[in-house]
Amino acid sequence: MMELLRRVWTGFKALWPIEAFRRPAPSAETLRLRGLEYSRRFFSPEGFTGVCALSSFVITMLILFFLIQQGLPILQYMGYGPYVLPLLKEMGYSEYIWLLNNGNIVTGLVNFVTGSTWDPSGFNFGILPLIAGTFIVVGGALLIALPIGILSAIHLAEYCSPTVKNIVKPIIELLAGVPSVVYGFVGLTILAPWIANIFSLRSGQSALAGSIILSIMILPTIVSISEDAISSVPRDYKEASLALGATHFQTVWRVLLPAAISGITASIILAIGRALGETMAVLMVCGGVANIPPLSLEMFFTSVKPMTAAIAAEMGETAVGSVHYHALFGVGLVLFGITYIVNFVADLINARFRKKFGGSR
Amino acid sequence: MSLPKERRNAMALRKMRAVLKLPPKKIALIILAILAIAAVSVFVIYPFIYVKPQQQLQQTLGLYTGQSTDTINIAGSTTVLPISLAIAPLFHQFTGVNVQVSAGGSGLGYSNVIDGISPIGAVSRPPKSNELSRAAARGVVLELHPIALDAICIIWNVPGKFQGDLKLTKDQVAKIFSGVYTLWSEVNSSFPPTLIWVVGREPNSGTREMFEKSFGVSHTEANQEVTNNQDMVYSVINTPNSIGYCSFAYAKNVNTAEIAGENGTFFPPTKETIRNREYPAYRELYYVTNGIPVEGSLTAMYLDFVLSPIGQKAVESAGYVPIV
Amino acid sequence: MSDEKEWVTIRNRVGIGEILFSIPTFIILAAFIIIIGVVVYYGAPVISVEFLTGNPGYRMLYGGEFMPYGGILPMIFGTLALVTGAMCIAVPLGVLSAIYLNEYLHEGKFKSFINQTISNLAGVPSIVFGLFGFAFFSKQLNFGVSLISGWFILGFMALPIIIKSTEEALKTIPRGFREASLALGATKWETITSVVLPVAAPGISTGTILGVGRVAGETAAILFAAAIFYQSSLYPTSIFQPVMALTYHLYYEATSSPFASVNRPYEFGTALVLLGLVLLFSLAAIYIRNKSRKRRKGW
Repeated sequence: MMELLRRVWTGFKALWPIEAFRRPAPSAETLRLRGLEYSRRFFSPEGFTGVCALSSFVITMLILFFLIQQGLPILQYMGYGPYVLPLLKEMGYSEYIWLLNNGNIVTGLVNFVTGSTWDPSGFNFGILPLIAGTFIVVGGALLIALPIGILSAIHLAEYCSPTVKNIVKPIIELLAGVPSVVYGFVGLTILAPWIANIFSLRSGQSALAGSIILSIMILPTIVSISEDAISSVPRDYKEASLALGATHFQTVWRVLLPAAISGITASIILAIGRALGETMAVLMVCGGVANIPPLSLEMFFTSVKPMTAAIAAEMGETAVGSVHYHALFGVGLVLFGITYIVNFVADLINARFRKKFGGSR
Repeated sequence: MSLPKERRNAMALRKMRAVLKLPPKKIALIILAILAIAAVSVFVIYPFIYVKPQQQLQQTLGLYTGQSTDTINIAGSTTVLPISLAIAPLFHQFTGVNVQVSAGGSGLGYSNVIDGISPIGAVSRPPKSNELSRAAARGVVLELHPIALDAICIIWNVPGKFQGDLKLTKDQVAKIFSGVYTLWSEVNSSFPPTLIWVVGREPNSGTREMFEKSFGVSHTEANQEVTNNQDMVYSVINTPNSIGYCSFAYAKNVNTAEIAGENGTFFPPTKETIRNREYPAYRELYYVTNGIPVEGSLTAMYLDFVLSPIGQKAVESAGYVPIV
Repeated sequence: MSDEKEWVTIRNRVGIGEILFSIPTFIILAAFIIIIGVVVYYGAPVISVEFLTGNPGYRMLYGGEFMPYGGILPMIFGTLALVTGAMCIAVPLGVLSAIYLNEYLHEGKFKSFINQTISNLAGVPSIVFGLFGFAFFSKQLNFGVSLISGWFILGFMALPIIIKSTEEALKTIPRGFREASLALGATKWETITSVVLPVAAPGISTGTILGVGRVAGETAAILFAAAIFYQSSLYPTSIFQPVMALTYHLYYEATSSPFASVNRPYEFGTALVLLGLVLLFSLAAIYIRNKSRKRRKGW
């Protein structure tokens, strides 16, 4: 029985003779010119895994395709100006939106991004309040998290004893994995009432609560990557500086930090990317009122609606194919574009620093 | 094992080749072509041939039948959500049907039925004009089935006064909430002259909409805004000289005002007065369907179950007033 | 190690640096302790065998509140089901991609392009993944709100993590291993499958578990494409049915359900279970990583 199977298997393998597919073997000259030492085929492990590697590219293109497919209509509608849609709604002709199908996309995008009213039921689809909300929350989070994170990274890398470091670093990395709903839930139940108590507000759900929660979420990213960066500065730098008579503080401040700046910048940009895309925590603690906050210190105490929270909150109750639906995909498209730009800048900075410092990080 | 290995393998190979009578290259290409067609069919043709059973029947009949689907998806008003949650496990016990419950507002309930996503939606208000026109455009007839009664209770808290001391007309309620009356003594002469602390709801609230419609309040001047019924009740209980409004299910342990009906008699919001439609600020909660459900279909079974004594008991356990 | 002597020398001089820099670390630790502590403190009283193995029900309790009672077993099952399917999609795809990127592809424009794409995919917000999954899997392919949509979306989200950690694991294997195997006559693919992958297995499993931890805590991606608040059959009867997940349940109950503010203990219990699950995965990843690091010290 096994014999039969073996024979069948061998026969089947023989059906796939590589020889039958082989292009004429390249001559030695061609191989030398190509710089290859082996012949490459597509129907081989290399080809198969190569197709798998292309999957991430395919997925990104799919995401982009569907975002554009569903988000383009709102840009076309807004191409005639930000007031046409609300006017249509007010006049009662909201089923004639298809008349706006051929709007200019670029004008529409400008109108979409700079419109200052986000009121879906009144057909006002300007996402400036949402962008302002995102930037205020993310900016506040960076304001809190950057000093604390970088100083903490310096402490962990340089100042604290190995025992403390062996305990604290794993704890911080562990807490990088806490789900964002839990952060949002704790913010909703504990932080927001606490803020309302301290500042005598009606409701503690504000940009301040969002910033605090978001800063706690991005701290592990900043701390662990910055700490790695500072630790991987070559010891010669530190020893040379100390040999020249600098104090430890001077060494850290003037030698190690500038040397690790590429890693620290990478951590900052990663943290920005993570903060921009955070949904659930800001959804639960930011209040969800889509108004542009006033440009004063009061803006942290007003309720804001970041872009991610707008999509998450309003998508559940939107009819598929309605103008609101397309508008939410437009917001998703803008979000995708922003995170793409942030990632692109991150890669640029990484490449530049790699060239400049030749492999320090 | 008579022959050496190579001979045996060569014989097997020749046998297979003889059987297939094709050069190996062609065989490999055929196998590849079959795999490619399979991949293409899965991702390209499949969405066009896969139709959910409900939609398939809908396409053939124009209505929702579907005993075989074993799933009902009820989405819509958050007010009706407790009713659906209370009934779903009971219905499952009786019929084994999977009832999927979610919320999203009455607007979602209507659009699910209009777009054909689900045969039933849960709504707490009659359809708006744009929903009616969209339904007409798609040939959908929105049929409302009242399943429960809800009411807006005016809750109040004045130290020293108890249930039954406050009787208001709708007009007086409107005046209190729009700021015309500022002292309790203006409302009722036996009340102390303390400032009225008005608690309202957030602008998007369905309860607020219902309150403003029932009592004819065009513009609410609230000292405080809360975001849900429980917070409203807690605020009123803990703030002296306050007044607010909440859904009937939540008005426990707090004083409610008696409201004057059509003929001037004051009715407190109790199950009996609401059931008899005597308490004036009531509303009906509905399940909306596309036309009258076909006799014997899953939708009809579900609606019959909701209106049966067991279903109405579940409605009561959810905190609303049974309608039958 | 000579480091210790250096530590002693520097630490004898307690400068402003020491005190100044230790404050932020304590702030961070305090924040984390508060958050975890709050969840444990309010959630622990709710955890019981019935909570973890029971099914949810809804009824009006004696106080007059309509609230859930019972347990959260279907939600735990839903989360685990989503995670398992997502990993079945992400791990093969990710490991094979990382093999290609590390073994077959030489440095160049194409490799940096693919690396850029992968880090871009890692940075895409989860709500955008949710939108894409809804538009593609639920609407275009007509899967509806279903378990299989969730599998694909979460699988695509975990893919960059798996690729990155597998690449790291493959990079740390010394070239000698591969060269020795090739010198013995194995083909490149045989080298990869019989020599490189088994050695990289701890790193790959660390990456898998990290991906599991990320995917288990994901809400925004499954918000409109896979999760539902309650279904009477509690468990999905086919992969084209929605699923009840821990994260979605916590989010929905805490914000939009009618009994949100009176049901806090139940919600804290759910949060504690979710936190425990995710932390368990992270601890497992750290344990595997430390064990493999000890073993690798011998190379």
